[in-house]
Amino acid sequence: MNSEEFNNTILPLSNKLFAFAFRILKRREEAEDAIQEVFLKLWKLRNKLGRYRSLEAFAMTVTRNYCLDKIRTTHTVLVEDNYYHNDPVMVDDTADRKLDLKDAVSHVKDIINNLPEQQRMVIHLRDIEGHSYHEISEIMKENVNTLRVSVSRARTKVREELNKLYQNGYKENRTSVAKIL
Amino acid sequence: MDIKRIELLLQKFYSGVSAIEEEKELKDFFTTNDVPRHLWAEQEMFTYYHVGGKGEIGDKELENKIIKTIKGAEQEEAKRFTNRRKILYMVSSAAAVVALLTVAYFAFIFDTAMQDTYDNPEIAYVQTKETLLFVSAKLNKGTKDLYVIGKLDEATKPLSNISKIEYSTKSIYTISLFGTGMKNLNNLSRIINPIEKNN
Repeated sequence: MNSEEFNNTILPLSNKLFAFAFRILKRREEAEDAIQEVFLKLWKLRNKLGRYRSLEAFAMTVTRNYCLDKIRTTHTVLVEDNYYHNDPVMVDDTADRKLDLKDAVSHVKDIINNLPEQQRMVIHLRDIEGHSYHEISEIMKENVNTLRVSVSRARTKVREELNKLYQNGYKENRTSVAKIL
Repeated sequence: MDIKRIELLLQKFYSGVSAIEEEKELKDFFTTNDVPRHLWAEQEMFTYYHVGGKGEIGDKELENKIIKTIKGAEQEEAKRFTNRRKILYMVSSAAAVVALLTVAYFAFIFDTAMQDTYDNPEIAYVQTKETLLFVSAKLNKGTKDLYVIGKLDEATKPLSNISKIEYSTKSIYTISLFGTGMKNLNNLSRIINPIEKNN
């Protein structure tokens, strides 16, 4: 694979790989550094890349391995860039629901970031990137059934946490309305 | 959209058995419709999944950084290659210089020899003859001293007399034969003596 082929096939994966790295490492800076390293690795391997069935899956695996190594070798508890926002979501019975996209992003993102690594990766690959279980199994080197269990747990956890926020918000709203009345 | 169907899909979704198409249906539903209140949490969730990490990344910026990194790696690789070349160039040019110098040296030596210094060949002949005679005279004078070496030969002549010592030792041997003769005479005397005693 020459430079041009590399630029045409591997480089466009950069955002996807970055999003994955960001999900694992939780910090933008770390994720950017990781991606640089991953691309250097891929570049050095460019002559051997032809033998992989799916370049994307291979690149994702390299990214996953690099990020997990990073977490394990630094032994640092990664604190995400945005801290957990558990402000309750104010729910008003009467008002039209206008979903604030920015809020939605921060709630769900924070909840996912607090999941264990494995679940975090799986939910990223499945629900955000929309990979098939087969592809995920190739990337994660896990069998499909294990992955399904992980996905199920992760999704359930996200719903639980979100519901908590919504219920608290609903209650708080009600009590504040009662006080005013 | 049928809420009953959505709830069924959600059930499959949470147990991890939904297909990609079903999940896409859920995403579509939650991002385009008005959603009943008890599903607002799901709405938020699917909106995030739909939007994904998009907007969290400055795409071009990252790509440019990567291109830069790779270019750096490429240049380093090229540099390592040219360094190897440079060494090769230096060694070969040094060898070339040495070869050139030797060639030039020999060419210079063989080139300076013959040059006419006289216009008239007769004068040149006379001059050459004179020079050669002078040289031969000097050469002969030098060889005179070598005659002394010939005298070394004369000195060894007396040493040949030493070999004559051998002749004299041979005669000494005959003297020893005289000793054995005496012993025989002694035995003879023993024979004679008993005869004398018996008498």
